[in-house]
Amino acid sequence: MNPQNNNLFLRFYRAILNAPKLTLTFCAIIFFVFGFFALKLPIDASSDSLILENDKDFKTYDSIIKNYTTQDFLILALSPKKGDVFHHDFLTTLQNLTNDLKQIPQIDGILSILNAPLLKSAPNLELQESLKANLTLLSAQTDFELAKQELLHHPFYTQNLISKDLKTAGILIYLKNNTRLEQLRELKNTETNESQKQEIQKLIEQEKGKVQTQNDVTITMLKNLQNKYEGLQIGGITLIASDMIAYVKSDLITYGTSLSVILALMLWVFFGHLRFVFLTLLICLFTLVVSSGIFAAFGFKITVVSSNYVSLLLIINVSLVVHLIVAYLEFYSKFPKASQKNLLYATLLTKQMPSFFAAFTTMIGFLSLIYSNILPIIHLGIVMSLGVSVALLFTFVLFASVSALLDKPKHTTKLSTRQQRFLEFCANLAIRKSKMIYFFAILCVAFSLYGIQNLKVENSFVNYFKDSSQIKQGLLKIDKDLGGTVPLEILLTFPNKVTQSSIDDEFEAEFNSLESQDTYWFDSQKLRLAKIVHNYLEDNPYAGSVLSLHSLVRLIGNLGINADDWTIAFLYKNARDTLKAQIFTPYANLEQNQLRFVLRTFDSNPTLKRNDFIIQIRKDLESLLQNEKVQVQVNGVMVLYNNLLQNLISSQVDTLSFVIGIIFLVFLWIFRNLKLAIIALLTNILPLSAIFGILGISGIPLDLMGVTIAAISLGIGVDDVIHYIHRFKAEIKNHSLQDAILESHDSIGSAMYYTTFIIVVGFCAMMSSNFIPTIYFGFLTTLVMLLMLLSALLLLPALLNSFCKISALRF
Amino acid sequence: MTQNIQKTLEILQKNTTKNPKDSAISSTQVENIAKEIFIMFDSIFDYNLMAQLSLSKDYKTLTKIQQEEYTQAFEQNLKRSFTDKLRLYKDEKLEVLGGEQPKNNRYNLKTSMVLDGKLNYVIFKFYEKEGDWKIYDVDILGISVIQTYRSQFSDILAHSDFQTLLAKLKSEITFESPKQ
Repeated sequence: MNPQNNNLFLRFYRAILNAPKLTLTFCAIIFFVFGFFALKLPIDASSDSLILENDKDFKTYDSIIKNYTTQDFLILALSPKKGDVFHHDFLTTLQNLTNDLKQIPQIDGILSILNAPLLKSAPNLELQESLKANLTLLSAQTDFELAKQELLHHPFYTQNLISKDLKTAGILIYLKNNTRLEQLRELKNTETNESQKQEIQKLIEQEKGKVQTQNDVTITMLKNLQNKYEGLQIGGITLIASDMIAYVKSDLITYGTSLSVILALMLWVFFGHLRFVFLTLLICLFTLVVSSGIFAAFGFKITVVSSNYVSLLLIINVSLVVHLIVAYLEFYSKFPKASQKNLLYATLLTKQMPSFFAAFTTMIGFLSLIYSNILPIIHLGIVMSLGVSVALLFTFVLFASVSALLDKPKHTTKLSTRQQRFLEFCANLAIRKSKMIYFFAILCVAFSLYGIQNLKVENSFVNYFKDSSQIKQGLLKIDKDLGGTVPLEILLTFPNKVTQSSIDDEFEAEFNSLESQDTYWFDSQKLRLAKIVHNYLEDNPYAGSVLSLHSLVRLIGNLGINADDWTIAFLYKNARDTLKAQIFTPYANLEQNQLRFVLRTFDSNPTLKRNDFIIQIRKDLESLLQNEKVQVQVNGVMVLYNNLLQNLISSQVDTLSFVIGIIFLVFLWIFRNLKLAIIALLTNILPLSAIFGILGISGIPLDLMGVTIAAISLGIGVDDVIHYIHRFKAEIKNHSLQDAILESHDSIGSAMYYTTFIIVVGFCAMMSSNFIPTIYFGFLTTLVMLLMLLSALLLLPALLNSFCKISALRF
Repeated sequence: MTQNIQKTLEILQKNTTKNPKDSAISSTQVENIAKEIFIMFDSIFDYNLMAQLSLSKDYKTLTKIQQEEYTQAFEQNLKRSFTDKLRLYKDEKLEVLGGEQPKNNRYNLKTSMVLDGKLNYVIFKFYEKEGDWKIYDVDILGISVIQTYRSQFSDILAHSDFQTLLAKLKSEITFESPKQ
């Protein structure tokens, strides 16, 4: 280390150690200021938060929302205790439920078999009279049997309001649109001034927050109804988003708390001093609050992915503190008579470089996530890099200032002999049985290569939740019985007709001009293509409910009327606006010259391969429509989500190659030795690749959280190697290679052992989550950290022993 | 010209007065009325031109024999469809409102019916042919009959040949027709 730098740090530490109270006051002010901001840290789990940055499909999706006034909705499902959904008792229950739903202020409309308009269920009424009479299931003129048949075969109702087996009734709940949000979005699109745009965006975010709160309230009220109506299930994307937020919030609190308790217990077991327990927790709390304050001040949001930052930061921070404590105790046991200040000076000076490099490499690990293209992951990267810097700075400041105010501990706890024996065993194994270690390492590489080829990214919303959870049961029922869950949309855009100007024939000119009128938009080609596409989609085994212009054609067909161009044009011209809004506008946009097909996919079907499914639909539609001069677009939440999932593997490769490259350079810089750098890198990469092997072989899909494991583990895992090699280089100056390894294991090995176990137990706590990706994340990170410790304790010394020469290291 | 218009008005009014307000009429009655209308209208409808207009530029690509065959099939189809259409609005009263002349050689005869409390029109479109006035299109409730034919025919011809069109014209293509 260069003496000038050392001098600078020495002065910094002296300032802290000489005025610990002032330093602590200063820290307290920072704590409260950022704590104020931290309270406002928003949580976002909307579908917007789960999209790729710059996804071109999102523009189309956005235009769908704009062009086809869509309304958020929830689906309720209720099954009769006896008989089918038309049983008298059940209809009474349904009526009571409808009345209760009407009391919820955020609900705009309710559609169920009770109020669905019927057209051919009154035998004595003509069509027009039925329309006028606004017939429903319970109207006096309705023939109950006819109504049952009409509902069951109705193209708009079947699989939406009624399951095919008549055992489940669906209740569609339309939520009130936030008109201010719509206005703001419109305003943002027309605004050209960038700063104004940003202002509007802020207002949009605020408004979205309000919508989210309102949705949460509505969902809570619906959940309360579940107590009153046994077996009532809730589903819909809005619910998934709301429940994900609830899980994120509860996870933040649960893991924050349980992790703190676990950490405290472990610290107490390892060090036997309450002061170290409280000191560590204080530093961790400080880092968490200040970091959260900074994120909030930057306008970041916590998403499903970045919610892990709490546990991650806690763990990284604990590892930093533990290294300091271990070093402090080591100095203390060596120089029991040294003053507290001198012990602290020695600890801070010895640990500053390895701690800095450890934090630095961790930051690189997280910063690499910026290359993922996935907004929530990018945020996690930024948030964690900031957090780690805060952790590094304040761990040193707080550790020094708080310890300076305390006396030396009266006694120190040594590692139990069993633990020490284990470390010694590892060192001896590395020295004596290196060939066996290499054999297992090669086996591990082969295993990983095999597994990596089987990595998959198949994620279903339904499977995000535990089997026992109520949300999963609701989602499953609605998915299976009421037409699927995740929406997919198909858009057919027709070319604008060019009127041939050369037509001099008066009649031709007259009809050409007539053709361009809205009424004639629903021409034969469109009706024919609507039929082809609709039937094609319906035949797909993964497609549930399909709605389009062809549903209208079928509805008219069911009434015994042949739905040709004329009838549709007539209906379009004569239908009331409310009816138009139901049957025309969601499926045809005249301005855009576009037909829209909305289908919901069976999300719970285990054989559904989302990417293949979307590709197949695109391919089939293109071949079906190849001579039609129409543009086909496949879009919807499913496509956006799939884009994200497909991006996971490539972003995993991008982030990993970045992080490996940079960490290698950092190793070269720290160790100034190519061999050491390569050895250090190998020690870390091997356990990491094993994780991908496990993922591939076990069939656990790579998900949004899983994709961050590699970068995070590498970032954290590297710390052990840095600390170890740093120590090893110090030991080798006075010892033989093998003794240096034994010494390093004995000293730094215990810190690595402590930190890894703390981290492992911490991540184990995540496995109790209700959110499946969190469970996988906890499990996989635990596994990778254990493998990394094993690799650092076995493979690293074995490689050092086999490939390093003392002469090259003693400089 | 005035004579012819007057004659048409009379025919229409005669028919509409036959249809007493608020009374339902049977299918046979509808067919009879339709037949009567067609007998009287046959001389006014220019089926030949309507057939040509419905096929647009494709008409010229047909041989003489094909043109004749097509025109005949078209006329049959139009009559059948028109009869069906009457059935849909059988309980509504048709009133002649008068006419307008958008161009020198065009005359639109406007008739009205109240449907679902809303005023709707059936417009007979005339053009001047050698000093006489002939119908070349009918707008029923705002929808041009010829235009809907044009849309269907052009779509069929974009994918199939003339024979397919002819076959469909004889069987499938109709305006809406309540299935019995």
